[in-house]
Amino acid sequence: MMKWYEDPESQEAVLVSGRVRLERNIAGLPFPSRLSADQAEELVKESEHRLLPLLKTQDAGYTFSRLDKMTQGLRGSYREKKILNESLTRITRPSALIVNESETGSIILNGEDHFRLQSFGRGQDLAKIYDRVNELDDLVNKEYDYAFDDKYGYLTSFPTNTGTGMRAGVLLHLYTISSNPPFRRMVMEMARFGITVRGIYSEENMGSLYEVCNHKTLGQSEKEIIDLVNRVSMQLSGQEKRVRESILKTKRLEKTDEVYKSYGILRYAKRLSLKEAMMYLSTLRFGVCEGVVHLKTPVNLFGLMMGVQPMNLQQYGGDTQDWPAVRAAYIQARLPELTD
Amino acid sequence: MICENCRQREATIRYVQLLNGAKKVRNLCPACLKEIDPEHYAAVFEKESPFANLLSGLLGITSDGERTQQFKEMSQIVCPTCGTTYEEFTKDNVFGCEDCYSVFGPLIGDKLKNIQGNVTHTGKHPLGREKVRERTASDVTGELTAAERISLLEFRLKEAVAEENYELAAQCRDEIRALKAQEEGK
Repeated sequence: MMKWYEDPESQEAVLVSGRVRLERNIAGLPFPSRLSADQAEELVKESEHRLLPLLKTQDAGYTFSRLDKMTQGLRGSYREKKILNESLTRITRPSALIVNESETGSIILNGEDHFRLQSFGRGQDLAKIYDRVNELDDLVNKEYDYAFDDKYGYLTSFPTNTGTGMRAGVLLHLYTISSNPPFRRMVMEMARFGITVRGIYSEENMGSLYEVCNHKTLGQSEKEIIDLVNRVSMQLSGQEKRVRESILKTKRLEKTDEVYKSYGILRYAKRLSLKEAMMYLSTLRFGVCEGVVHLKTPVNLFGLMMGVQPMNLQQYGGDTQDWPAVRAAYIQARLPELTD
Repeated sequence: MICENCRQREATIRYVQLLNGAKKVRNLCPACLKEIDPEHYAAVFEKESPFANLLSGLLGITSDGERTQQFKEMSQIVCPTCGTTYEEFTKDNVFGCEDCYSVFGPLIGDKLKNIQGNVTHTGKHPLGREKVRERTASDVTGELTAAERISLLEFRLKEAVAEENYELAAQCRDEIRALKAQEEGK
């Protein structure tokens, strides 16, 4: 089965992907950092038996694996796909990951909180993504009582997550506006409204991929948060599209040249560093979405951008001496030809 | 919410006393806290600037690196359920269990406000803990709800009895009855 980010149908010009995650804890049980090893072990085993069968009735593709026993390589790969975060890749206490085959839904057991529920999907479908994760939440709640306070909401290990326990984010491909100086000012403005905008892959913001995410979790309803994140994403998306249109009017040949050169390098290079691959894939994505260049068969270029990340590439395999060479081969195996 | 002590000023402090395993919660204004517990008031409030500096002041991180008496006291605040100390909490900002919120909540109330903006949950409720009623205008302005007023009056009643002010106690008792009857009639 295809992962959601491999589906070319999901490819929208600017809205790359969306995700919503909820943090929950069980009532009457210490949070993960304070559970004894035995309690943690029991919790993980018990929740596997209670939750996995229920989840499978919704999606037969759900599988269970121990996170604390998972290889660093696989953990890194999940981190690059945003299913795990930095601290979860280093976790040593008994914990687990339940994820479905398309990777649209996942539950982390005994991570930072007892349950981290996540759903991923298309950038324009944030409300639907929330509905999916909400279903997961109700499913788990039927089996377990949650730690909850009328004032502080859902009680989480980190007070910065308390309340709704929710983070909603939309990933945007801001190919043209992210390099403009006013962009940084705009990002700072958004902090005032409780929105953070940050590059997802590194400080250099490779690939012009930015995530718009809510910062506050307490004092707003879930719907209000989703609306806010959607509004900001739409605003940024609108701006990006306007600038693209303007640039393609005034500098079409220049941009076309850039796009074709990027395609050419991706198609024929024998070695590609991560930085190069991200740069060229980003330009190609822009070109394909704006109709500057046409591929014979559709491919999800964001899927490739994730695939060339170091840990994901390791999962792909190949000559471990020369990762740039593996990267180039990985791309070539997936890059379609151009139509005439 | 009004200060339980003076019944005049706005209560911005939730004062939680843990003594011999018993927990006592009071909602006070800064002036009354100063009156009731001058030592802790000084420790928490008579310092300059934002919480970050406040914290290092409390932790006694002075220029010569010496730990102060205040820090020793603060770090002894412990959550009775999971054993997390205040010191541990300030290190990695992680709570150990749900009760930590009552224990440390008053100490970090301001900090939470800075990060989160608003300090009351208005979103989804879990199964079995459904919202009693929809958010109303008085929630936003901070006026007392009937339930809050009842608990405030009950506290005042106990105090009045302790002070042997039976007239006041009777007044409180009657008001409580009236409010409860009102609530049940709804």
